[in-house]
Amino acid sequence: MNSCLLCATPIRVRLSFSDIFLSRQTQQVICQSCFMQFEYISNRHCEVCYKPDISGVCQDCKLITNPVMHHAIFHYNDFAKTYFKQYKFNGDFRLRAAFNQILRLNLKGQQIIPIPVSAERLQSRGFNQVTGFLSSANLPYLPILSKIETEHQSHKTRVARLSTDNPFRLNTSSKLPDSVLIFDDIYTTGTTLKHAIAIIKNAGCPRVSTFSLFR
Amino acid sequence: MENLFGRLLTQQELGPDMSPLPKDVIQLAGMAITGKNVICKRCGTASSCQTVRLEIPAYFCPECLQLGRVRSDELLYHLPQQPFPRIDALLWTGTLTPYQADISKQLVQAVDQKKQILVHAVTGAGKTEMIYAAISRSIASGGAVCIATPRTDVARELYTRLTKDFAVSISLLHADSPPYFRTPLVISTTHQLLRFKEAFDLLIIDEVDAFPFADNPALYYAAKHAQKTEATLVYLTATSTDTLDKHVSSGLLKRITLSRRFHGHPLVVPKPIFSYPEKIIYRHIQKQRKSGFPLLLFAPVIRFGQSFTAQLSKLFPHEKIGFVASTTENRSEIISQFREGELTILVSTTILERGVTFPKVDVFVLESQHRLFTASSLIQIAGRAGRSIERPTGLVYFFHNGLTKQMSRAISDIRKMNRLGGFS
Repeated sequence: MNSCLLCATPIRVRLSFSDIFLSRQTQQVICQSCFMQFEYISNRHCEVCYKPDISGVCQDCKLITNPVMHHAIFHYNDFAKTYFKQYKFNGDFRLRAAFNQILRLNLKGQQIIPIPVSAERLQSRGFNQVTGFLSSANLPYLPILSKIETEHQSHKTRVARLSTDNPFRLNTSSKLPDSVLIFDDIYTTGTTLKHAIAIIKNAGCPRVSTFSLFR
Repeated sequence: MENLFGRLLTQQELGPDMSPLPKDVIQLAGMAITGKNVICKRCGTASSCQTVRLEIPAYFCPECLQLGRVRSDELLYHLPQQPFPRIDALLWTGTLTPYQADISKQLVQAVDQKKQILVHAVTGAGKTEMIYAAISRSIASGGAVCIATPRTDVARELYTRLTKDFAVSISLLHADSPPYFRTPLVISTTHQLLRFKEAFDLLIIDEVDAFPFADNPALYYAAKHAQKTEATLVYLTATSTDTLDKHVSSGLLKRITLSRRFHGHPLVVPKPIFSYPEKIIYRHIQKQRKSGFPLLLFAPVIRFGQSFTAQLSKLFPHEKIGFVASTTENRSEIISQFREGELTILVSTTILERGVTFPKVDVFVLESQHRLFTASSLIQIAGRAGRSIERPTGLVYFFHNGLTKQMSRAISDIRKMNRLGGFS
């Protein structure tokens, strides 16, 4: 029996008939009671950027012309922070499998462009947490963005983050699909996605939307 | 550089002040790949390549991740241990009971002969004083000594006592402690042993029966590699584990038993009480409160403990009732309030099962059939009663909804120790 990677209690695997019939592996990495601490965003959220607990459109989005629609699943609450500390900073790559089902439900069949990490970060962390989620969920993606190393985002203030140069580059010359979804793990100020959107739109893609697991 | 003597550290742990690296530094690959598995060179755990592969061509060890990740494409760094100046460090001047003195002498012999010993001593035997002579002997010959325990609380308690009883600097190591500095005496959690390599002449592991050490292969590996090739290893425990029993019967380990508490009275034998409906428990609590002795209750899980505490406060409005769990922020404050008598009833999870003394206390276990109450846990819990000379007896009740093997084993083990101690 395997144990929860966050709280170490043994995980009881519930097999359904179809799991056995299709000999599917339902390997869970975190237990039900830990997973329940991830807080779903309710129906009340900004219609554009998915900011929680806003009716209609939030102040920030009202000021923007031609906004890009964002979609998110969970609140970035304290529990989510603990999860990301263990996944990204301690580097437990096994935790990428925590959202397989929910990602398949939301992203299947779309042209996904993951937010990249820089070559330096890829080397030091050993993985890109965003593509980790996707490959664990068996979702194909287009690795067409690359990132140049800048100062670490979380060490910057909001103002500094909003005014930085675009760190992303397009690494392909082939034509992009007409409709794409840019995927990131966490949406905080929206700057990262804004930069990515700019690059993709500039490359001639007419329909761009964005998605993050946390908001 | 001297902080690397006898240590085994990752690149990140070396920190910026270690560059340039000393010339004679020993560098080891972080992991070894053997077919389908990859083995961590720090904790010895084998993982299947498939589950621990990163996105770059490298693997990581999930087992000892909390100490900083070991990777197959990175190195571990080590410098051989160096001797310490010989000093006479023992300040303690108390006297041992004849039983303690006998064990103490055998431990000093084990230090001289570099042997492995398991000390199986009842709860409340006075284990800490028995190891003093052996520690002092090793330090006096320039050796390095480490006392490791699975529990952070126990490590802190030991540190407080040993800083008073020894005239030597001690470094205390656990997950939240300040970084290591080189000292002849180290007190640490068993996880921290993974950061040592061939470092200690005397390694004492206290409470080997406690989670997470008990039957955890990575921590046995850590203990094996943290000691020098010629060293003394002492396990201290109140309940043996299957792994230790195996080592004893195969002759790897010599067992010595101390079945007498320091005050010479027998262990309190727990009484199992079938407690459905729940009011049976409240009736026993009511009866116990008339004696005026403090009451310590153990609950298997935090949520149950909280709701039981709330229920008690309703039923016994005149009692001062507290609750502690690993998540309680001011837990040391609540514990000392109970010790001082400001609280009359304390409900606790298993965090108080070992390493603490509350004089004159009675001990009740709630839901003692729960899977978290293992035999060793129950023996420790029962051992909280009767620890002081003023009241060497007390009540120990196991409230249950069905006797478990673990409960029966705990009770028969306690009886057995009493028989060995000359009580019938």
